[in-house]
Amino acid sequence: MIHLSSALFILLGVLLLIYLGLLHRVLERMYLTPLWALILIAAIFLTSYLPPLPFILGHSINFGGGIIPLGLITYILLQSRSPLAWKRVFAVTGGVALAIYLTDRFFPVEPGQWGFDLDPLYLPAVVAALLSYLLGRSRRAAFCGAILGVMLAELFSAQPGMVHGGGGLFDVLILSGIVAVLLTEAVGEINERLQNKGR
Amino acid sequence: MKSFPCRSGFQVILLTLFFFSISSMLPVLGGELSPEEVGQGLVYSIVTGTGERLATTRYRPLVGDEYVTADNRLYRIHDVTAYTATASLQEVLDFSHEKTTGILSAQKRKGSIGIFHTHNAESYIPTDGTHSIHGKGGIHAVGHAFANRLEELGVESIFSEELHLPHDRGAYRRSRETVLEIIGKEPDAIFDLHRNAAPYAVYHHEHKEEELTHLQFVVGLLNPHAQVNRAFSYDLKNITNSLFPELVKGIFFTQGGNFNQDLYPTLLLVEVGAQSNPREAAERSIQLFAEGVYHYFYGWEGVTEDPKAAAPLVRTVGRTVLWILLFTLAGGILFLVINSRDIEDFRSRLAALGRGLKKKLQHLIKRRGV
Repeated sequence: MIHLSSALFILLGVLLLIYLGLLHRVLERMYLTPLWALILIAAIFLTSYLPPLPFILGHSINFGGGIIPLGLITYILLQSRSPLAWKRVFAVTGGVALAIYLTDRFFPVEPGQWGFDLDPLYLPAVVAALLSYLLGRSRRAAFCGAILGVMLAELFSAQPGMVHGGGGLFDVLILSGIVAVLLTEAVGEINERLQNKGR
Repeated sequence: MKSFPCRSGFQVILLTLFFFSISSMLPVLGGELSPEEVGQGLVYSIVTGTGERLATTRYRPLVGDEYVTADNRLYRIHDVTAYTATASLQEVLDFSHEKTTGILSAQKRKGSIGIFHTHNAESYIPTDGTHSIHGKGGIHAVGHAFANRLEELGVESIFSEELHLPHDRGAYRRSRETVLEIIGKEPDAIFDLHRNAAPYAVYHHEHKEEELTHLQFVVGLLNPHAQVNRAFSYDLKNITNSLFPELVKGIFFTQGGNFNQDLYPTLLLVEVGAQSNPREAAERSIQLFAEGVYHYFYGWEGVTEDPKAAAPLVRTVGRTVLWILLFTLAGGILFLVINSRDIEDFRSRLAALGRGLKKKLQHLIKRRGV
């Protein structure tokens, strides 16, 4: 049966954008080439089928959906030598984790209770994009903060035994990172266009 | 904006950790409705302009949400005040021309059905003594009843009892992995079984002098193939109700959620009764529903099957795929536009893209020796 999840939908779009060279600037800021981005996506997909590895606080972590994104974040942080970039990542991480934790804990069980009450699947990406835009439109902070924020929130709220990134490419971790970057790029560019036109 | 609002990012992390430690000691303010709140009527009602009550639910309806009743009247909500949503009749859906039984019977096999619970703690007060049990709540027994009946009918059940605690909205994020695990086994459909929070009478139902509970489907419209979910929920409701009248009391289409339905077109969230109904009644109802599911996918023995029965669902899937392709194309154009300085730059980028694609295509054709 044909089925396309929102994650697969976004992923196909990203693959197409990379292939057409339209995400060149975003990838450059994340110290990646299109080829490496495609290799990473393939590696996440293939290794997500490996059994989970023990993590901290009794949690486990998936190789493709958890270890590879963490490795990529470490690489990005080590490559960016500016302390400001590190601070941005930490700030977005804290903000995303806090937003998830607060909405999980203090909002009703079912999402969509108000007009702007986002589904828990999409909330991390939107918060990460918003914060990283406010902190200087940093794509690196959006990507790293979204992933680390979800992980941090789940570490503190989920019961032991949870597998981080267990859904591989379709997990909320990867989905949040990719959507956060795309949102930061799209919203930032559109906003700047509008501001430039107004001048 | 170049300045950073906090002196150190580490301070933010430390503050976050401190906040988590303190707030974990506080009671959950949101979350599940308590029996007292349900008793006080703090649940949401969907009513018509004449005051007819269509549904009572724990989901807060939004303007634009839709509700389809057991007799296929489609209502759209146009006003929400406090705990009451007013809806107006849009149309009476006509399914008389569609045959949707035994859609997979042409494959001469009985497949498998996935079952899981996003909110594991949900329980039934008259039987379980409480509305919520931390761990495997009463809803797991309902899942077992469903799985056992399917097995009796010769259908493999993929029943995951994976826990997604605590009982909060984040459980939908955590249950995503469970859904993907079930999808890996290629089931024909997946059901996320819940129970609602509503007064006893709302979900109380009787069939052949036996106490049952109504079922209600919930479809989150915040997903790319909501239209397939919609078509599936219509068909399944109609088949089930044709066997057991009014067993499925309605379908709630909400714009506020996703409920992981983006992962599979035939994933449905099913509310089996409410916390105030006895669990045994819910178990009986879900067993009847299993027969509806069986009838929908595999047909009955001896019934002449129509291989074209799946055509309406396949058509809807085709439309969804087309929409996804159009959205991807629109996304590509958007990125091209925002990365261009002006219209001339856009044109030259588009031309370069065309040339690049042509070159790649020629290269591919050459390699394949066509």
